[in-house]
Amino acid sequence: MVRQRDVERSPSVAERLPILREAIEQVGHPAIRNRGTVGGSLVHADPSAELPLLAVALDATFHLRSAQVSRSVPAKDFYQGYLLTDIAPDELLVATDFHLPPADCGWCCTEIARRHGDFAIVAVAVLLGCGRDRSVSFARVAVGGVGPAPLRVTAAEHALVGERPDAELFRRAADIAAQAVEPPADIHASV
Amino acid sequence: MAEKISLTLKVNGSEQAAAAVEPRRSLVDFLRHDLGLVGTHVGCEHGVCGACTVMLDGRTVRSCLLFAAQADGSEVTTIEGIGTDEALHPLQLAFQQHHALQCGFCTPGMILAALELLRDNADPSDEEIRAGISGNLCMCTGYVNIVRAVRALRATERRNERTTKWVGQALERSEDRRLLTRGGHFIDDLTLPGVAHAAYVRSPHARAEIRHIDVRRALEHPGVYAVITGDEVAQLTRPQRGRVPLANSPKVYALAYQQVRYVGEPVVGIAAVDRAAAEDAADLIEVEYDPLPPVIEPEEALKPGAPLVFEEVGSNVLWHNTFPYGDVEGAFKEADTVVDERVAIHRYCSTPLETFGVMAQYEAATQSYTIWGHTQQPAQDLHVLAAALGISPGKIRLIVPPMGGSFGNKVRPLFIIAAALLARKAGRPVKWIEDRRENLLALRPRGRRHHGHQRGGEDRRNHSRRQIPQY
Repeated sequence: MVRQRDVERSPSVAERLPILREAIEQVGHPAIRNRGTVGGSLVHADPSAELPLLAVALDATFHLRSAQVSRSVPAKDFYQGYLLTDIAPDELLVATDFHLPPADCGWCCTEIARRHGDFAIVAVAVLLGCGRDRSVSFARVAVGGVGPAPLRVTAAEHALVGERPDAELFRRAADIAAQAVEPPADIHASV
Repeated sequence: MAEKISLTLKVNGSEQAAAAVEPRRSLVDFLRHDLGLVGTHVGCEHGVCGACTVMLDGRTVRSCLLFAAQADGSEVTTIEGIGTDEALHPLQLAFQQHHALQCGFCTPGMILAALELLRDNADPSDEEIRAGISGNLCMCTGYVNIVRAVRALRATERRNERTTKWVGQALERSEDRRLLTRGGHFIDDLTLPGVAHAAYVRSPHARAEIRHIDVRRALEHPGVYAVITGDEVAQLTRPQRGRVPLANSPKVYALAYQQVRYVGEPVVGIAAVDRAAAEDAADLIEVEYDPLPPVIEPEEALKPGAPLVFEEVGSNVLWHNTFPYGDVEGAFKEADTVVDERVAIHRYCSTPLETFGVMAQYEAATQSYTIWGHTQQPAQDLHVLAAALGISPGKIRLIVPPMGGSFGNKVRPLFIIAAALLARKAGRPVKWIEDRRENLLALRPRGRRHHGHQRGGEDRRNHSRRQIPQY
């Protein structure tokens, strides 16, 4: 039930999970984020929304509870299709764990939208960490708005890990990510 | 209908207790219509435009997205709690000094958003100012002057030296203070004792015969005063007079008569104790249609055998004219080059933040109407209304309140006629405020247009001669 605005302004989020803050800054506008909750966006499961995208990128675990049962579902199983999740009608999302990436990794959550604050036409979240030998040791690539649910592109991550980061490598990973999706046409964009 | 609830909240510093609020009442309707705080405006009704922004426990929220019940026990601040005509808040003064408002419809929401921004960040960069007000749409100013006004209040701002006395200086307009502090003169801010509220059943078809309309259940619905259909409108009024005299005029009435001709065309009008009751009653009306093939593209409409939009006209061309100036043919003969091109412009709708509205009152003793309503050409519309209602223009007093933007689509006398007829039938004033869904479904659009250009040019003198067929 935490409000998006509180996460956006949280010093500990800014310190340990800045990509979450960057993602939330692209959700609607201040007055929307003052009321919008993180859990609400996660279970609404809009395929273009930023928070489900991060949940997929960061292997979030959803803790669900009904009057009888508590259970936990990983993000990859939680999102099942367009606005469709694993949550049952009598269940509530009570907590979400985001797995923290390595502290020194780089990150970016960016999107193409018609206006600031709109739902993304395409959204991308990437986290990259390098080892001592300066090759990529940690990679997370996820895309939103290009399918019925946010998608983590593990093939692109595999292509990145172990390689020296340069423009050519990033282009290759981007090509793999582009191959992995089959975006539907919508009113704003066609393929 | 669910049971009514009572709530207590603090509004602009004073305790308010409301005894009987419908659980579905939105916070903005509660503030505007139950507490009379009409400075908070309704724009998009779905959280996008920011016109309804208020503070709830010190944070900006969209009052159109909240139920009044959600504010129970909270503290609400509206524009009326920010400053007064005599003592403007410094931000309101900056808005006035920088001419950061024109129609003023977005202004209250804009001011509350900017106040939150300045409270949380005393020295925002231009980029942060733009992000802070990004959720508030303004259709008049282009935002530049709004950013300037907010900038004037940031901690490090230095006052600009005035170098000119008049040029480039914003002057206080007589309406500024009211717009900045409380609004209160837009159509939905006006009310009359006993006013009823209208809603319309609209066509789901682009073209169809109306086979049967059953209004019995709506008439039995609690709170319904009057229901009117196209058949009755056709008996009570004459077809709308067009802007230009036509040889064969189409028969257009305030409500669809026998046929519907576009999706969203009003078919049945209802007046009830409040808008919610009118919409509930609208849901109880059953209309049977025989759908017919529509004609959608202008060029298709010109082809022989195309379905006729108005059968009584006998053609889809209502009006044809040419406006030649000078020797057109000779000019083309002399031209060095002649360019032929065809330009298609998509269907386009201008959408002011304030939707269309009207409030009509009928006085039976003198058979006259007082109408507060939107029109951008009152002198012309007065005669259109009088002709349709079959009365002298002197029997109509048409008052046009200030508008929250219009952009060409607030010329819709049919809706004024419908409200007038409903007021007469209901025996009480009737108000109709178009909701945003209706506005986006069936506002007055600029239809898809085709322009053919034929241009003869003389390169050296850069003169061109044009022939522009347009439809």
